[in-house]
Amino acid sequence: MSVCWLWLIVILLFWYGFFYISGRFCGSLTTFSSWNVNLAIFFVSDTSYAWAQVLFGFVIGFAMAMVSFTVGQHAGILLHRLNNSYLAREADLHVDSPQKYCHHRELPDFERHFLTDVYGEDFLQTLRRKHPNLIEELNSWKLSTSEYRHPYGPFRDTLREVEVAAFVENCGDISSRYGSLVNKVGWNLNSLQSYVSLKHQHAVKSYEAKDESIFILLGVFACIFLILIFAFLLDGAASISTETESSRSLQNYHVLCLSGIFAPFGALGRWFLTRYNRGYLRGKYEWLPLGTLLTNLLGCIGSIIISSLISSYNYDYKSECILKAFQMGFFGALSTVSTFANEISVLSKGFPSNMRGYVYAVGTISLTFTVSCIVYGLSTNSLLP
Amino acid sequence: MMINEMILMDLPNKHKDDKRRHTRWLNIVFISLFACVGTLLRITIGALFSICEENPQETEAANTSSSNNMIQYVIPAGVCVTSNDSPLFVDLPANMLGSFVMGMILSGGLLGLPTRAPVACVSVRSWLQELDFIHFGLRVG
Repeated sequence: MSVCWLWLIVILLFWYGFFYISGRFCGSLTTFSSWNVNLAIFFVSDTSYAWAQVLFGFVIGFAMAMVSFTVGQHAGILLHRLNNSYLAREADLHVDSPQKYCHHRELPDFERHFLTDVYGEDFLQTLRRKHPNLIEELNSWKLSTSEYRHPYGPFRDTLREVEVAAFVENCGDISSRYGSLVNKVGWNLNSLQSYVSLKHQHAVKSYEAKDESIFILLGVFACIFLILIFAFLLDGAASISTETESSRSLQNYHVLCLSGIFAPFGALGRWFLTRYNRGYLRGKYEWLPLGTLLTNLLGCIGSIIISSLISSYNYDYKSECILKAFQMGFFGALSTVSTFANEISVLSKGFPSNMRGYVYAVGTISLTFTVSCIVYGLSTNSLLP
Repeated sequence: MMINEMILMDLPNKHKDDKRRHTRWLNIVFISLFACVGTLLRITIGALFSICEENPQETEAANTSSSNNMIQYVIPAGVCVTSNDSPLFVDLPANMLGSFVMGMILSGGLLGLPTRAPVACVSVRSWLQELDFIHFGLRVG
């Protein structure tokens, strides 16, 4: 039962914490190396119609990852609409009546929604009750500029500049920059300045109360939980020294415990290598996520070397468990499919102007598969005459 | 809410910058923690979908083993869908789950939404949005 409780705690922590480090979790949950290595071993081994298995293996593995990623994106959009009703309403307004849509998207959400009538009457009444001065000033500005808010109205660009200066850049002296022009068209610049000033005062008071203790607390809590997990895994792995020849279930258990111990090092290695994703290559291949390509390539090479070692030599139970755990834990966490899918999705936005998504996908799969086949073939002498 | 936060959240504020000081060690701790959990989950999911049948003798041996009887909980009995000898490889379900989660927690910009929130699927005013590591994690994961 204690293990059930441990899994329950893991699931709860995952739910509250996975947003925090989502990319790392996904990267460790998915693995490129075992997928590639399985198919490389299959291909090099003398199996009938191995090419067909390999082809379908890559097609299914790649297609399933991309489809899952796309469905995940759709789920994310639906959740976004569910959790951000005003943004969803604004998007609907944009579709239903484009003339109401704010023509400058740089504005903060609150002001943009207020100025473009996204908020309902109930909410506006609550706002007026809670912040009468603030809302009054903003409303005065809105009323004085309402006829210039049309997407094709006159002074559209000037209105945009003034509002960006006030709401985004938090400019304290708008009058000197735009006063003469604004006075001509009759916009209530005093209200705008009063609003910005009031908002800034509120903001300083509000944020001063916050500190970074929540971040430190989260970090300490994560440290404690990491130590607990490591203690549990070490306890599970410790019994490996007393076993000589065991059942498959027991071996799976030992490999699982050891993999969990090796995994953080693989993920940290991936984090280190991802610094080469941007700004390292120059010229024609500047767009290439070199870091992810390197992590997947290194993960496949390391994994295939371990596979060839296991198939070539007879190791005792303990060594075999450690090797398998290193393969699944370290190299499994080093390589990633989720980031690979994300990068393909981003690079494919340029299609059909360029084929970067396809080049990256096919290039990565071809390179890792070829290298894996060569390494496995040479190390097991399968490629030698 | 938060109405107060709603009005004030978008204002540039120097106090937010202080939160970046502990980024590195927090990154390392959380990478280690979630890499560990992610890998355990991947192997468990792999076992769940690949193990075909439990050999009664093996189960008995595991139960009477010197380790403990936790194995039955940690490695569940499988449903026999994936295999190392087929195109439906063992880690396929974990890859699908990981890709799904990755797609779900993208930033507003990457999802094509009119928001710059680092994680679009939660409220743009959620405290989760203030954790800078989300954005970084999504980029490099």
